[in-house]
Amino acid sequence: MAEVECRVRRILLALDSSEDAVALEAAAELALGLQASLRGLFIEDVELLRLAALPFATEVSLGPARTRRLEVDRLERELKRQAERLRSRLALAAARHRRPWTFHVVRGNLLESIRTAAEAADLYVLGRPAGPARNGRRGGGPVLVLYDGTGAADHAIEAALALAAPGAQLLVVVPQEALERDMERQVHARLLAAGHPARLLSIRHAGPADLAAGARQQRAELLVLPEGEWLRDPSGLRRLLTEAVCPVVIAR
Amino acid sequence: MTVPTHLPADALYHRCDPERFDFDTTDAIDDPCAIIGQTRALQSLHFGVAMEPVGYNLYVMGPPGMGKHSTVREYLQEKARERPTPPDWAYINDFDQPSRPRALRLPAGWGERLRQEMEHLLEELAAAIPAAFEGSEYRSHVQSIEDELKERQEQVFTRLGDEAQRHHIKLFRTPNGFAFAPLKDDEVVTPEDFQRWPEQEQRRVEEVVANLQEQLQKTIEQIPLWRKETRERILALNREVALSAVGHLIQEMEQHYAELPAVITYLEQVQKDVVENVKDFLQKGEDSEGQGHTAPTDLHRYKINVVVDHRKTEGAPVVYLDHPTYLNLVGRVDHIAQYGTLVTDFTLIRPGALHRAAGGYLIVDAHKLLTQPYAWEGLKRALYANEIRIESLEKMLSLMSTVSLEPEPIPLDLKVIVLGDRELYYLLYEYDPDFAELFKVAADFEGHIDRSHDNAGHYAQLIAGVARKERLRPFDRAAVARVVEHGSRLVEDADKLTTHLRSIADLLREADHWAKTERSRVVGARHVQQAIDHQIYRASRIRDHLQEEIRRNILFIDTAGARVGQINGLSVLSLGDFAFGQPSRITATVGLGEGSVVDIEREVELGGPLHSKGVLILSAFLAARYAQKQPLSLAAHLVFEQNYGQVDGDSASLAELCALLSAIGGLPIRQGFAVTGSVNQLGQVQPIGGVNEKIEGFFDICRARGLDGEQGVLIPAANVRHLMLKEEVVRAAAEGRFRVIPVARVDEAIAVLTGTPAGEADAQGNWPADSVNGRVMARLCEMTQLRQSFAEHGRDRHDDDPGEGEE
Repeated sequence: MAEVECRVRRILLALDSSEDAVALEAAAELALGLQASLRGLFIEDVELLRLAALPFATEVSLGPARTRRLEVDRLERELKRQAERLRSRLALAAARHRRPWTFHVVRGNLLESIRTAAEAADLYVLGRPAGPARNGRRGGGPVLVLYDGTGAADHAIEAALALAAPGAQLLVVVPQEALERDMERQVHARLLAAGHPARLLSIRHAGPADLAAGARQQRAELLVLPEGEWLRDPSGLRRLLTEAVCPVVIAR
Repeated sequence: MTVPTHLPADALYHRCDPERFDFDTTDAIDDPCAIIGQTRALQSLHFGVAMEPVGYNLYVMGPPGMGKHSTVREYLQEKARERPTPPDWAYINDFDQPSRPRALRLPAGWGERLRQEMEHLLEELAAAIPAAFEGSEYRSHVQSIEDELKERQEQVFTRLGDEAQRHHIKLFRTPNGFAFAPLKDDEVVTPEDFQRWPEQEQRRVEEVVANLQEQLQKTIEQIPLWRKETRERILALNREVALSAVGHLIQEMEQHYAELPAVITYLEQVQKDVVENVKDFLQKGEDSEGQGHTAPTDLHRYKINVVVDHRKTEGAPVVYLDHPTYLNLVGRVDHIAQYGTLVTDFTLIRPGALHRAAGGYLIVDAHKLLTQPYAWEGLKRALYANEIRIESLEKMLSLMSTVSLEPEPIPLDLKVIVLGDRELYYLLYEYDPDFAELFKVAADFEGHIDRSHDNAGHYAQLIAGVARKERLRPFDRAAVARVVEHGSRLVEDADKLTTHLRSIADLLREADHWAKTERSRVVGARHVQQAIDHQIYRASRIRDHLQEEIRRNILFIDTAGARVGQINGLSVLSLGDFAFGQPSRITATVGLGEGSVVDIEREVELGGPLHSKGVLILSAFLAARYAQKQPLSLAAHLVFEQNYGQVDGDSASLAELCALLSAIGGLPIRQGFAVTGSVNQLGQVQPIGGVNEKIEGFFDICRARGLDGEQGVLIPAANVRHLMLKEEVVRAAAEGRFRVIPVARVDEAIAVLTGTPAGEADAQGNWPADSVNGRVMARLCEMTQLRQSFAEHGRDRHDDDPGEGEE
């Protein structure tokens, strides 16, 4: 793992019932690489609970694909169990990497809760809210990072360098407009200093849809982004998380 | 009857004239030999070895030290050179049934070669396979297959999500699966709002959700199939990659064993197993499911366990098994401790002597074989089945039914030669019905040979053979002659020579030692004599102690004067390989009685059955000679004075009879004599064993007290041919200071001992009054009359007394 200048002190891992093990693993690695503390946040999505209260609410289970009635009480019990499971896994990962950690459970709107919690973090890792479950596997796949020239983008590069496995490809996406501002030279210098091989890609517009499409196209294992205004748009963030097919790391 | 005279000195020792040998030293002997006088045994050995049918194994018998082992081994080694070298055997893994390792037959010397090539192959595979799987080509191929699965899943979920979106419905991840919910203003509709919706709208939403759920259900049902398909594709890819890495290495090896179909088959199985279990070669790789491997992986199953290696064998093997335990014989399966349990595999199969000797000869000592639990049974089973089956004792005895290895049996073509003593042979023949079936040939080693001119020459050849083999100094002809004489002494027969090789070889070695201490380049007769004397000196502590006790009159032995009812008997004590003669005082007493001769040794259970038999014969002799016209009216008692141990044998019966006659007739016996010999009922003197030791034992005592020319030993006439007395006795006899007198009848003995003629009965059966027999007869008549008078007196008293029971 490349050595980077460490400015990140607090990492937030925000997960809902999707139990994204890749996100958890990435957060733990980041905590180790950046020598940061780890804060786990399990969000009991109020929308999910509202769904369960609907008269026709049913769920299709994984494994044996069966349909069954979704009930609020049972859902709450299962969410508690899930939170406990996540807590254990986080404790295990933090102990393995010898990093300090905390864990909290909140109930609320998923994106609102993330946004609130992210205020106290330097960097936050978001699991994928829907889609098929993923095994915890890291290494080998490329890490896609957006560099838009902001201060947060520098943190994003640091995080990406910390996450990129030795020999793994680091793909730096530079928006067209940033290229025009000669950002390419800056990022080159930044990467040269880090000593990690990287490839630069240009992107027309650094919006959620394009970034998610880019991550899918490059079969990225992680997507690292600097926090921007667009992220404050709940629908944009939701779309990014849903379509990116990989955990998203956001640097502030 | 004439009184017997003493033997001349030259009858006491059968000399070997050195001049009969036509060499100066044994170095000049051109045809030394290693064994003599075993024609019958050797012919039996040749026959048994030549007989090919099953069951013609050999039992070579004879006492220890006869040279059986070296003779058999040398002969077998010579025969083995003419026979082909048997095949090598190796145990290999059976990939279908690992608990039943297979035996692989290979040409002699090829086992180790195959083992080394397999080791090399494993090293090659350990490098080639990870290289193939760590290559970017393979990884990208796997990544591509896995990504296809991911994309496939993502696509259907995205499509479902989009489909739901079109109906303002959102797909949610629940803790256990997925669920759909209708949206209002991008948020899940609350139950209250939903209730407020028109019924038609509610039904429509519910139908859409139901439809989406159905699609989702079908999708989820497909996922395991897609995963399985992905796994299979990756496995197929693994096989393809592994085969490309393994195939050419195996093919290269197969070329070396093209003429051995069994090896080719094995290599094909190895290839198949490697391809199917390629992950075992990947130290830190990943499989299709992303699971890391633990390293190092156990590749034991590809090893070759060579259990029979004939690389250095020329001809057939000749194996001597020194410690014939069951496991050393048939082999074993070792176990190693692993995490608190004992585990094993085919590489821990250890061969036994049967494996090493298969196709050749196995030599085993009978006593050792029979004293090891189940070794004899194991050998018989292998010989009956003509195969070596490695089974633990627990399994053989059905003590345990633990699942363990069952190595494939190896065919057995073997000639077994068991070496042992005669007693064991006859016991086995009597009590083990399998023995006669499996050991059809007996080779019996002779204990002695005639002391002929030719055999003396053979002795010289034997001495030359031992001297050359053991790099001893050459023996001059006088030394050879002395060894020949000692050969006669060892078998206690002036006309025979021992064939006990160990005794001869020991004597030669020790004589060589004494020659060496004297810095002599040749071993002479004096060195041989020194060796004999030193052997006796080393072993004679107890003899010397007993003789000292006699000299100090602690053990009472008279060697002068005359005593009634007292005689010097002679016995032999054997301690280890040393025997010596020991005089014992025997006394007899008589009194009135009913004709019994009481053996006091027998009464106190110190007398053995043969001794008792001898004493009973005395009673019979007395009755036959003196009680034809009157009853024997005596009670005689015989005792070995100062004897506190067991007495057996009948060699003292002549002495006992003489003591008894002396006691009855009141005739003193000359104490300068000692007597040995057994008698029969007719008064004939029969030969005994240990005659030389007995004479020498009494001579030593007499010499210590001073030889007066009146001392000597009476021996059975039949023992004269056994005399090989030591030089001092012969010299004393030649100087008339000690006598050895042969006697054929008891009358001769008693005449010499008492100095009184025994007397011969006339036609009426009467003995001369002044003869021994006449005086004995007279005394017995007197006792009979006395007894009769006592009986009459008793009857008179009885008649005068009315008694209580009579009316």
